[in-house]
Amino acid sequence: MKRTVCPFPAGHSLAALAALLAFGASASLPNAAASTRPQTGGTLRVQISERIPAPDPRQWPSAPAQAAAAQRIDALVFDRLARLDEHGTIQPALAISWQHDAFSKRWQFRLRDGVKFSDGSPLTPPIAAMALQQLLGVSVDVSATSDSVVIQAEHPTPDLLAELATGRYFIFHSLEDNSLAGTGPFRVAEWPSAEGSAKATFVANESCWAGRPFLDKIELMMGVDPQQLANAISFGQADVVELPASQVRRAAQRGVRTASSDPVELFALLFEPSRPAVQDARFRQAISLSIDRASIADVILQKQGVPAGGLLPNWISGYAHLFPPTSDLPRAKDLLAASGREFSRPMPLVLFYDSGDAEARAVADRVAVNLREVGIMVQVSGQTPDGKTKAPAADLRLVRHRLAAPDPAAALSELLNSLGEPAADLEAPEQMYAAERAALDAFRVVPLVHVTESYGLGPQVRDWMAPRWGGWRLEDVWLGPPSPGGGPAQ
Amino acid sequence: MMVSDRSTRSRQAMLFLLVLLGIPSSARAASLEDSAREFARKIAAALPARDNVSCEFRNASSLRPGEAARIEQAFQSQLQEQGVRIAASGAPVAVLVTLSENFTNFIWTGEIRQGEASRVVLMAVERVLENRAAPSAMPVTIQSEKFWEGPERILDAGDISGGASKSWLVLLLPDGLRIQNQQTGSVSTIEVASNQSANRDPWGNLDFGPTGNTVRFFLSPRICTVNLETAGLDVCSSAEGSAGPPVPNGFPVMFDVAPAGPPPPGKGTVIEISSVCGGADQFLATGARDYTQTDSLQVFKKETSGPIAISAELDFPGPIMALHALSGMPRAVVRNLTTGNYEAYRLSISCGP
Repeated sequence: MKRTVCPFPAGHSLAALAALLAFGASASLPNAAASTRPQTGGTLRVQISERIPAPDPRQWPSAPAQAAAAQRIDALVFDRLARLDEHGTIQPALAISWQHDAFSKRWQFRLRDGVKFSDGSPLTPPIAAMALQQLLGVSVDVSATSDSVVIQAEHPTPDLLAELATGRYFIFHSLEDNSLAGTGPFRVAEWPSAEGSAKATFVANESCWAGRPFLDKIELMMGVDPQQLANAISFGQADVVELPASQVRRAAQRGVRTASSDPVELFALLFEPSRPAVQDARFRQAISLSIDRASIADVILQKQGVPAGGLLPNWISGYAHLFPPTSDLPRAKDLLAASGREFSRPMPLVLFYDSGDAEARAVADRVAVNLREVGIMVQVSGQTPDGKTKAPAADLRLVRHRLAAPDPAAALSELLNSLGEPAADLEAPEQMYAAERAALDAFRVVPLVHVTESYGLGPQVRDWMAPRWGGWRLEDVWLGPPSPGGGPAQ
Repeated sequence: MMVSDRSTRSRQAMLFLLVLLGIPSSARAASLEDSAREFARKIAAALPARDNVSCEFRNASSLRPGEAARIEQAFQSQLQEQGVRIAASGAPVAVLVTLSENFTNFIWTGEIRQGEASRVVLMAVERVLENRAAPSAMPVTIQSEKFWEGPERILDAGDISGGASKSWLVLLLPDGLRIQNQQTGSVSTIEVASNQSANRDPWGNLDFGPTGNTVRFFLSPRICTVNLETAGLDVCSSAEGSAGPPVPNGFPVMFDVAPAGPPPPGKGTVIEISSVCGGADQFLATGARDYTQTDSLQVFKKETSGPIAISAELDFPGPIMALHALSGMPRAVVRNLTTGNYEAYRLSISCGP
């Protein structure tokens, strides 16, 4: 008998549990002491609010919420060269090793042997190189050797490995019918047309290199009204639903099993730099000091959020205590007076929010109420993500940013870029702190709350071991018999 | 088959959990104190003045109060060694040290305030004991190959090649040695009086000689050399030096060596191995469960901050009854909980997945 333990991307069911327990994540966990072995078979019914055009890394949505959904869905079908383990450490996936030159300009990834796409064709370096070239664009040159993929960049790319372990950098194989095959635990059996039903079906990839998943099939319903998601569990229409933060507590009170990540999403106010009304930094600081973040976190988001003074949550940065969220109305009024704006602005500020996001609307309304208390009038205006809604120009926007990675440097870099703030070298904690301090001291962006990602789980769902930074690992999930209490059967 | 692979990995992960819950506080104290001294030097270098500095400590991490206290003590001692005079609160220069953490490291911050001016010093401190898995793309891999199985209790086993198509399977029993000629199938047994006859957990080990046709073994209290060609006892000596002729070839240096210090948290037996992947100070460790449960093996390396796992855990179908690495041939004896048989595994420890 010969047994080999090899690095494995997604099978650490109890490893995730161990991590969750060790780190004190707020998941409502299955009984860790239960010794029931996983069972194979069954169909998992999943409902989410987002809808993506296709499981295709080439069609990556720009909206953060949609991109997060695409990342989850694409991971059912595709693998990346490297992956993050339950500790956020980069581990081999389709690449078993890698090396780079002294300048981090040339990277070589040696591919795992014996991997097949779901259509039966083998994973080869040319196929992987072609996929990555399409995703990485022309700024790098991706080529293949006999057993490796080589990425050559003009400039140093020290973060390339971290980048390739997250986001859209999945390896795919373009088939003749224009569809894509992957090496992941599931393959697409049915994908909805743009006009029809929003139900997609995935079936187990029997030849997955990392092991067949326990489930036979996943039925994924996309584009579901967020307010109806919790009902889908209660009425037995779904096994797993994405839960808006404001719904989690209510769902739990109705007996729905819930699981939440650590805070992974940032609500923040972003000032429009070109708008004359918000040019004065003292005025922007006054706005920051006027907002009651605790009530947003506790009341509107039903304690699924934590007040944010910094851009990164503490579990990612470790230094968030250096940016305490502060509400100080007298000081805000002093600043307004100093800026000459006290009670004198004839036109209200215009605050944009995503009109399709009920939680964003509620947060925006709360901000407006807080600002009125110090004499700043605000017009709250819903805006579609594509910006087609006819509305006056915004002075500030309520943005909702899903942190892309648990790595502090990668998360901060991506966040600063999306906010239009400079992100230079972010390797050492001092550099990250300095970059965050610079962005916050200018009050161009005002953090409000960090919010968890939550799911409602049906009574048959077992081994829900999502990473603490959110998402899912459906290849580890299995279905057991329903239990009266809604939790796992003993 | 693949589904069961996932189950196996799940069980491995539960071991990680047990390891985490069993971390003794003393295991990481030394490195944390070293880090505290380094942090004090960074703070001292950033201070605007070294006289009358007040210092406040806050633990906002998962460090236990005792650990935080030791860190504070090491920090303040080092600060004073750097010439900083620590004063009561209200001093013109104030330092607020916060022991915080993110999900991978401890993050220690020092806020230095003098009047309206302030400066922040940060340091990331590795959280060693959670660094259990191989952190690079080239982890060490353990593979096992079962080369014998049977109902007899064995203490050690080896298959030895003597060249020229000669090979023997050698089993060390609690009361002697069994030699099986792999070509002819003939079996010879050498009985050795042992003081372990009443021992419920006997122990002994083999050492394969350089010539390929001899084997040495220890069976308390004796160390013996056997000629495999003749299946005869060449020489036997007391390991306690009380009887028999002098031991040839530098005996009795034939015991597995355990690394200095306690085993990693949650681990039981540890033995040193030849290092792979260019590393040093590597060792194998079993779990710490009893003989009613399955066990696993994992490779660790010693660091100044404590042992770090550099391989995944390799599961076995029962408890590991004996673990040896002598002769550069790591091997394990396992009692299969399903069959009740004893099994001998050859272990190969290699670089890469």
